Amino acid sequence: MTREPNARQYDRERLTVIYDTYHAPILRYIRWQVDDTETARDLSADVFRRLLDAVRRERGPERDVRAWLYRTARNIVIDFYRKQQFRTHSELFEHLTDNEPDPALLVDATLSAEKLRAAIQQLTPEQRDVIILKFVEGLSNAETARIVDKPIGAVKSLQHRALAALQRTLAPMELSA
Amino acid sequence: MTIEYELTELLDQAVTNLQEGKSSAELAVDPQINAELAPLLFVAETISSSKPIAMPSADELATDRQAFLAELDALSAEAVSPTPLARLTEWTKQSRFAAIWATLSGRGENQMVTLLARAALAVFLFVSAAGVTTVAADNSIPGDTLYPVKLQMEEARLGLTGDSAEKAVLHMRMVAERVAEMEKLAAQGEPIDEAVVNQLQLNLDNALAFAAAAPEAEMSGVLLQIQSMTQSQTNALKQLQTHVAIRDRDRDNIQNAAILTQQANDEAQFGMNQPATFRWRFGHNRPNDAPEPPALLPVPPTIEPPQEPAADDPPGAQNQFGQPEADATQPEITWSRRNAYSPCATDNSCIGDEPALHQHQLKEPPDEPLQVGPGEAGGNPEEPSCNGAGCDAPDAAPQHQQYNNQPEQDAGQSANGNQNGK
Repeated sequence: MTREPNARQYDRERLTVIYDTYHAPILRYIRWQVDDTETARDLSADVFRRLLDAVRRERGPERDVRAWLYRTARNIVIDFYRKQQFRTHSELFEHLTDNEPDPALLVDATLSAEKLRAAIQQLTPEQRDVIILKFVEGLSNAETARIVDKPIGAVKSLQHRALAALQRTLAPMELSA
Repeated sequence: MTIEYELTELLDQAVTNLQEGKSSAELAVDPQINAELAPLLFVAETISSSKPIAMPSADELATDRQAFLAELDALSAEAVSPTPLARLTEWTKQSRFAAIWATLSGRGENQMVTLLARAALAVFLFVSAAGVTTVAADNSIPGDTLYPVKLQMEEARLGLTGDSAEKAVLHMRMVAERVAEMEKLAAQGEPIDEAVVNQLQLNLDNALAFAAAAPEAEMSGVLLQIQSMTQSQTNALKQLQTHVAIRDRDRDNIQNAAILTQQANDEAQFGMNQPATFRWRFGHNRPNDAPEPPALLPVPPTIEPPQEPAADDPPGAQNQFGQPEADATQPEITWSRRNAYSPCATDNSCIGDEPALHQHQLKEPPDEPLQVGPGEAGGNPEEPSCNGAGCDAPDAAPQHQQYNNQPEQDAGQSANGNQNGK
């Protein structure tokens, strides 16, 4: 098993490896939550800038750098939208979806990424994390749980609610398209 | 709550099956997947197979990486704390400095503790003095009193390294140090002695010899490193030649050094193109009954061993290494690789266990043909490249191909292959 790089102290080579290893997934994670690539670039640069700040203060992540980066990315995205003041989170869909209409009519298999992204933006930050990490990044429940810092059971529950919410959001979107 | 919990578990199991390759239609056949879960599974499948989202271009990503590296370098230039004095002050505030001082000065309650503390302090001071000497020696240049200590320390470092590839790299660092010494000497207006160039040649030869002895998987990487380093050193030496304040003799020595680094660069390139022949040149995998290879360069004229000086002869001039200066009557040795087959052939003064390299001749014939086509050292072309799958793992090779940069309209494949590789 390959040793995961930590970032407790300044080590140029190690920090470069961390960047090369995690920049792509972090950028993709952010891109799924913002409207354009420029913003995604800026915010992902902020994530790694915070990493360097943490290293400067000798408070960088000693273990599980990936989870640290994802959590930082999530906070940065939340801060970004807080500053923008135009984002409105939908209320959590606490109840499960009903049986109709037929999903085959609702969700096109070739659904564009932008439409899907718009639907995912309607989720709560935690639901969004679970959906992106599990279905876009392909992480397991355990890996997702480490990143969102919740028990696996909570991840399953968030997944259930997020899928139900997406199903409800996507249905009218596709019908009107 | 129980029903919802069961549904959540069922959904998660179905999602796991989905991620393992089953389709939502297949899963819907399961009687446990009721009409409530089927639409959610379909949504999950849709997300997983959606087209990749637009990402920044490769140029933009390269720009971002450069910006990060620049910040990284800026960070390295910063001190951890403002000044050493500030660090000491902080340490005394936070530590039990006063208590330690009381113990050392004998005002502590336990005399044995005081004795042990004083002994520890003595050891500490001794080690610190040795450390200061080491640092001073590390910064010394030819002609300094501590320069021989520096060379001995380099030998000691080599002795602590067992791996051929590491030894090769260590020798290349020494080459870099020799070049840096020449630059320092030039900056201080000191003569650049021929002995520095001799030492540089020894390091270059040993670097190549150890690269030839390195395991197959590592040799090309080491050679690449040698090539890169010698290239920059050649450039540095050529730059140094243009130094206006350098005397002609020093300029010749620098030029000779530049020739040597360039030759090592060519040798490393050759080794990457034809690894078997390269090893063979340095005596590895060469059959015992193989004829001696012809010399690549004209053999220099034989140098007669120096006569024992008469007791009343005046002592000759010594160079900065404490060795006698070359006799002007002796024939001059051409500055080039004197024997490409034996880096230590001209003198047996190889550092470490270099001579053993040339005795290391295996009985077996070479495993690979001596002539290998170009691209040999370029890695296995059949080796699957990181195409997104698993690239996100912490131990994945840091390559940019993990970026999924396909615009939506280009992506006709499933996102499982393109987007996340799952």
